[in-house]
Amino acid sequence: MSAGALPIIRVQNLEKVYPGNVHAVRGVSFEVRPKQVVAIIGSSGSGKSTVLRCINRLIEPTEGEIYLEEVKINDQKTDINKIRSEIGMVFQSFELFAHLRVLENVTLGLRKVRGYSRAEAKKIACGVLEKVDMLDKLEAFPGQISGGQMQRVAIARALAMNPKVMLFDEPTSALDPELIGSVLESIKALVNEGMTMIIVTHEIGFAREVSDWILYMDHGAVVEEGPPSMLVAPKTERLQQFLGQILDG
Amino acid sequence: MQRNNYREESDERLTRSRFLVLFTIGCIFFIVLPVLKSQADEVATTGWDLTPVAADVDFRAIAALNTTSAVAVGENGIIFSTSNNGSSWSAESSGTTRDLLDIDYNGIIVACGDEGTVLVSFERGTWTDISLPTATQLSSITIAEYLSPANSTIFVAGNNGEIWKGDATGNWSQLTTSVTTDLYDIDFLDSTNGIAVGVEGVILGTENGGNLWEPRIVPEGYTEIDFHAIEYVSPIRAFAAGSNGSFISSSGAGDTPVGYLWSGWQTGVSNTLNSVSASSIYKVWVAGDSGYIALSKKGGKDFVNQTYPGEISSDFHSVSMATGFYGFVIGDDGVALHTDREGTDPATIPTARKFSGFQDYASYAYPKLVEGLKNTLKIIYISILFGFTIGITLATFKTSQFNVNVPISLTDSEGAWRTFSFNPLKLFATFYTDIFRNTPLLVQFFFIHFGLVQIGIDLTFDGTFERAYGSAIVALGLNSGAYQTEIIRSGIQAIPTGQMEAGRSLGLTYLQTMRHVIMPQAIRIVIPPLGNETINLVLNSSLASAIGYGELTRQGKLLISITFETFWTWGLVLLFYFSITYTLTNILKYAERKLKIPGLGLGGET
Repeated sequence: MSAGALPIIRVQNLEKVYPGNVHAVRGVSFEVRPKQVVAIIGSSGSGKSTVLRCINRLIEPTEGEIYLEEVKINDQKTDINKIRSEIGMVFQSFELFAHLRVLENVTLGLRKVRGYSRAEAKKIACGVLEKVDMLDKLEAFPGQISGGQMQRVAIARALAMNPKVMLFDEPTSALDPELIGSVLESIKALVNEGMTMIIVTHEIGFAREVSDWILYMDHGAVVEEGPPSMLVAPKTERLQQFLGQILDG
Repeated sequence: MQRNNYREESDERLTRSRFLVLFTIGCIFFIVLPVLKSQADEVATTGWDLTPVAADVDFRAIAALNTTSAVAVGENGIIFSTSNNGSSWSAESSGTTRDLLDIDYNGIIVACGDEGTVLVSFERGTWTDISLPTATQLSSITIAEYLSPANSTIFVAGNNGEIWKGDATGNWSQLTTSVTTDLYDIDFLDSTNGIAVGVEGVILGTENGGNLWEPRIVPEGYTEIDFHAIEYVSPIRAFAAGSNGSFISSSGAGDTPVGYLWSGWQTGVSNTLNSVSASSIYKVWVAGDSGYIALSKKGGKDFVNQTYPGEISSDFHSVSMATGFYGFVIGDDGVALHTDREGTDPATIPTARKFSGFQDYASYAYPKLVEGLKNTLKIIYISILFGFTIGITLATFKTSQFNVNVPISLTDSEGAWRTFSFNPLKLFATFYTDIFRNTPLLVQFFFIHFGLVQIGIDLTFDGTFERAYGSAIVALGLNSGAYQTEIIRSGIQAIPTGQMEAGRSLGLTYLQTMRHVIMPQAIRIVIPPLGNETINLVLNSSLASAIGYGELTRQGKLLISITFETFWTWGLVLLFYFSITYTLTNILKYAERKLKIPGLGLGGET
């Protein structure tokens, strides 16, 4: 952790109130520095995914400020499409484009957002698909490959845009246990390359293994945060309970 | 494995039965009917009855007195008259042997000819000489006004641009004209308004009883034409005809009276036209060299040839209609014709046709129904595309998030503006689909065809199409667009929201995501309902018959009005419709199969 470097993502006092006065996020603040991996853990409905979606404004924050390096993301003047193209996102349910082949899934953003030619896009796509070990399924449709393979393609799709930071929204939750391993391997490989990441996950062990900093959220607020070692000796009662439930489960 | 085998077998059986149906239709359309068609040879006929008067007589002009009587004049001073529909003609004594070139009837009968000859007949059978003081050849005479034998206004026109004004007592005075070329015909609407025509595109007009004659501008391409005939029909219409099959008409519009603006029409022949006779501003006959007679019922548009088939090649010099159905034509070699049926072949007048059997009937009906089939295809393919464009656009509107906040009051408890939020795109699309889906299509046809034209919206586009064609496309397209909007909207809403999120998270704009991610999936899902809608559109196109568009159903109706063969006609019309929809169904099934993506939509076997 180089303390002096400018944070890639800076979230300050983030608030999100859904219609119907549902207060999903209450005053969340944190920073992600270059090459840092931040994990957000917490039980269902604690507001983890909302925080993640606020970062690329798939959900409009109610209050607070979010910065990508020096650019304020939640400013109406900001070109949000440009910001989004610099933030990769991987979804729980993969969200591959069902009508496009594996290769086309990866090249769509390169061609329509970055403006690469078909050949250039294919070259880049093959590069990232090789990293996630999906080079042999270029011509398959998403409906023809397994869940783990789909998620690896989704990672490649986000990675192809050469993002400054990647957001993972429970990347393994929708997968069968035997398929989780390959996806985690791919994410680990990215960590080793020095990719900056925010990971929302239920995989406590994985979070401890790969992350530099962990946020524990409950009822929309960050209850406890710290280095991975905090999972070994939780300070707050709520985190103790949460970890206890997971270990019991 | 076994299930798969069974499936393949049943698929094969399905393909075979489908092939059989198509093969049967193919036989009917492409083998049987064209063979039958060759048996039908249309024989041209005419509605004019011929009475040869005398072979050595050359008639030059005729005036119908009423539906049964007429007087004709000709070369060497001959005059013949009939009072029994032209069945018999009797000679009258003219007292001259000079050529008589024109005749007119308006209370009295007058005739004119060579060397200034003018004759008048106050009583049938007797002629009085009221010739001009000079020996000019007079080509045309017209009675502008007749009040009494002593009080009338007569004009004659002839060679060297001469026009004389006079009365039935022989008082003649020459009028000044600006031309010295020969004039061939003169006609007056009343005692003040008249037109004279002549060689090389000369058209003269007067609006003050002949005191001043001004040249009128002839349309481009008609300046070399010799005009032989002028008919001043009404205050808003005049017709002229001349060499090379030329026919022009002038309409009065606004402040511009008849005679200033002329437009040309196609007769399709190159014969010299010698005479024009109109019974109304729409119904006009022309007669010309080589036995040519033709009728237009649209003021010069669509001339239909009424030439006497194969028997008469004599030049016709004059046609004179007493009414819209009764009239006379005369020409060289003593030819005189009469009609009591507008000169039309009775066979083409809608009367029941008798057929010896289905073959005979089919050979008659086939070309007419094929014409209808073509017209149906012409409207449906454009309407489908038109409707699809509307569907895609409005479905995008309906699913858009384009909200506009309008402050409506300051009565909020915290003092903030209370706002009214709405999506104008969605509002428009909803309004559109609600209107078109909750009103009868037939009434939409009526509104678009008969309603819009009254407020000045003319769907003939740039005049290239007939109006009913434009109306049919617009009505069908707009209606189908409303249904296609709903279908495509349902397809869009069936796509998981995550797909939009995934697209946007890559940096694609909303429209890019719609275009490249949502629409391709939504359209694939809704191909079956879209197919149903297309077939509905084909079936609904039969309503275009109600606004007079000549599509399949209307051709069927017309066919029945001639043949009274309801069973065969509607049976064939059904078969024709089936051939369109069945082909379409198979094309759509093929498209569905071709566009199928493994894992997308139901029944997604890989």
